[in-house]
Amino acid sequence: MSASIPFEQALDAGRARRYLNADPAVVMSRESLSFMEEAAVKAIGSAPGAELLFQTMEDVSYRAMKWAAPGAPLPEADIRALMEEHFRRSGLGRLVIQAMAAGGGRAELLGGCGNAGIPAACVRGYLAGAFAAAAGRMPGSFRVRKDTAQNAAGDLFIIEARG
Amino acid sequence: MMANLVTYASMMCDADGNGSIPIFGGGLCILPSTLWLLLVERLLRRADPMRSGAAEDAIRAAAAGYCYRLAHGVMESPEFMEGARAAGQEPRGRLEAFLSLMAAWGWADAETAFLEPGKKLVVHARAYFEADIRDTFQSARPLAFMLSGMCGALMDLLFAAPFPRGLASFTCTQTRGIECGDRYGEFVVTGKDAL
Repeated sequence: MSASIPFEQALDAGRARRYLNADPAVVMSRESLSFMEEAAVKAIGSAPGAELLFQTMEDVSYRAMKWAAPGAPLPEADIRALMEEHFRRSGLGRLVIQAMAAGGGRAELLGGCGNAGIPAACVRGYLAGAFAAAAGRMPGSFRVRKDTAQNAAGDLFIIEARG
Repeated sequence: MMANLVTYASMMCDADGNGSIPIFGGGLCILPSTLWLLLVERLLRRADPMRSGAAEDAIRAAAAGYCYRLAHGVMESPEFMEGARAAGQEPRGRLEAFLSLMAAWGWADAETAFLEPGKKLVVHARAYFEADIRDTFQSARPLAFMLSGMCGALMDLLFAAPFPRGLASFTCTQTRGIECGDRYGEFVVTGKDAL
């Protein structure tokens, strides 16, 4: 037996047991996302590695949103609040959904990816999956690009529906 | 007194208004375990079958570096120092304290099976999140890259040169894995000179 504390007691006390979609939650650091990108790039190459990280983040984000908002569509304001709160509570930073529609939208990571220590591919994937779930579509339905704009307080992301 | 670490660990869910979780060195985040598991599975499926070992080595090396930096930040934090104080400042006490924190953080239910200070560490894990990869991916080889990286990092930090020079002074080999059919995970850490 561990000399410290029972495992279940530790998990209960940790209160991080469940992520939004009821998957087991793991506490890491924001740098873990950069390390995941590094692992992916070193394992299969730069472009495919970044793309794979994006797709994986998209799928996980999609699942989280589908679990949090299943069934009937929520009002847009509720969906936006859910996305922003989900992102914030994860400790990833502050994401503001500036615009949202069936065809896409615009979001801003305040402070920027660099300050947050998060690869842009991860934010792009998060938005792609969340928007797909909110629109009642499947992962892969939205493309997301990072854009720059004057007077932005962080990194802007443009979400556009494919096809 | 280990409960202090758990108490602190329980506070990590509380991000501030800017989405920051500032304790234990700051920059923490809460992620679904499936993010890492799915990424590993997809990387191994995508890698050239003739070079799958190289892909695993790349993942393992990245994990080792990350765990070294994470563990250093945590161990240097006031929260860890206070919570681990009762366990003593000896390496074994700090090691046990860190393992209890890893339990609270969802990494593993692990214990020190053997420790020869400065030479060898054996960790047994009855449960660890990386074992869940077996639900969708069959492997004859152990795949707990994060836990392996963390075991090696702990020895680097406790017994090797001061951070950051001590990285990779020890190497961890996972000799048993729940994900490949064993009853528990076993992680054997030895110094590079011992190889």
